[in-house]
Amino acid sequence: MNTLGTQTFRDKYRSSTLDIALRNGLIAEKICKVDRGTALTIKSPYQTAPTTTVQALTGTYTVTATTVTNDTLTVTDEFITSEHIYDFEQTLSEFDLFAARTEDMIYDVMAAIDKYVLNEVLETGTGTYTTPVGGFTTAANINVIVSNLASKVAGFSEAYKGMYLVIENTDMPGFTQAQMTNGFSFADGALRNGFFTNYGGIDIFVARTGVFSDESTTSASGTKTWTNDGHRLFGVKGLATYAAPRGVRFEEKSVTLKTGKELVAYGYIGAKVWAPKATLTVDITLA
Amino acid sequence: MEFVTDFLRLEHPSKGIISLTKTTMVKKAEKKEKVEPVAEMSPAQIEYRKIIEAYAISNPVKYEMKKEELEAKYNAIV
Repeated sequence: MNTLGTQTFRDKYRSSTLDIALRNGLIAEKICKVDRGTALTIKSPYQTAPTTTVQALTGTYTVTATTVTNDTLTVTDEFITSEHIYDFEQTLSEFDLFAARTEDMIYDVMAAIDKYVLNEVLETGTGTYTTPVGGFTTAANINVIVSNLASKVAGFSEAYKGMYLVIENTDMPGFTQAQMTNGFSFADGALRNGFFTNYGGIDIFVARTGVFSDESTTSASGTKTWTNDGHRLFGVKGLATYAAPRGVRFEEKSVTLKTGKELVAYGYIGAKVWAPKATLTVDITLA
Repeated sequence: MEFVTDFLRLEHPSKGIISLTKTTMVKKAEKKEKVEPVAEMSPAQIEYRKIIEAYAISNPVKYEMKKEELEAKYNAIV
C-alpha cells in the first residue's frame, strides 16, 4: 500500500518561468529622439533665424551678422541595480532564477530611466499652460485643453512630426468620458473599444500615478531637481533628445566568499530639450 | 555684575586739569533678547523646503513661475 506524503508530488506552477510584478508602460522612447552612441556629450549648435525684409524697389540692403549658439546635452546620471543569487537558490529552484532576475532588473532600470526622462523633459520645456479647474478629470475640460494645447505648437513646421500628451492614470476618467460623449462614430467607437490613444490629433500616453513628482537629488532624480507633481507633459514628438549610451547593460560575476553570481544592470542617461525649440514642449499645470 | 567707568575732568589748583576715573561695580542689566516664535517644521516640510531651495538654484526661471504653487504645496504638507 502506498503511503506517499503530499510533498512527494510535483508542484504545478501556473507558468514555466517566474512571474513578474506589475510593470509600468514605458513612454520616453516613443516621444523623444534617442541617441545610443557612446559620447559623453552631444552638441547641437543652433543658428539664429535670418530675417527677410520686404521693401520697395531700391536695390540696397543692410547686412546682419550670422550667430550660432552652442547647446550641449551631457550624460550626467547613472542608473544601477544589483542583486546576488546564491548557488543553492538557483540550484534548488524550479525556475531559472538568473534569467528571471536579469529580465526584471533590466526592466527596472528602464522604468527608472523612463521616469527620469519624462520629468527632465517636462522640467526643461518652456511652454506653459494651465488647465481649466478640474484638469483632465473633468470631461467638459478635455476639448478645451486639447484644442488649447494643439494651438501652442501649431504653425511651426515641427508640429507635423506629431503631438503627444502624457497624463497619469488618475487623469483618464475625464478623457474616457469625453471620448464616449463627443461625436457620433467616435463616441460609438470609444463605447465599444474603450480609451482611444489619440484625441484631436494628439497621441495620448498614460503613465502611472506618481511618475510626475517633486524630487531633488534623490535616488529617482540623480543629480537633478524637478517639481512636477501636479504637472503633465505635452509637446511635439522627436524634439527632446535623450542619450542612453549603449542602452541598459548587464553583468553577471562571481565574487569572492560567495557561491552563485552577482547580477548588476546599469545604464547612463542625459536628457535635453534644445533651447531654440523648448517652447514646443509644454509644462501643463493642473488647476 | 559688570564694571562701569566714569571719567571726571577736574581743575586742580596747582596741576591744572586732571582726569579722574571712578569705577563702580553695577549689576549687569539682563539682556532681553527678542525671541521670534519659530514655527516647528515637520520632517516632510524640511524635506520639501530643501527641494524648493534646490529648485530655485537649478531652474531659477521656472522657480519664479512656480513660486506660489510650491509654497502652497509646502504649506499643505503636515
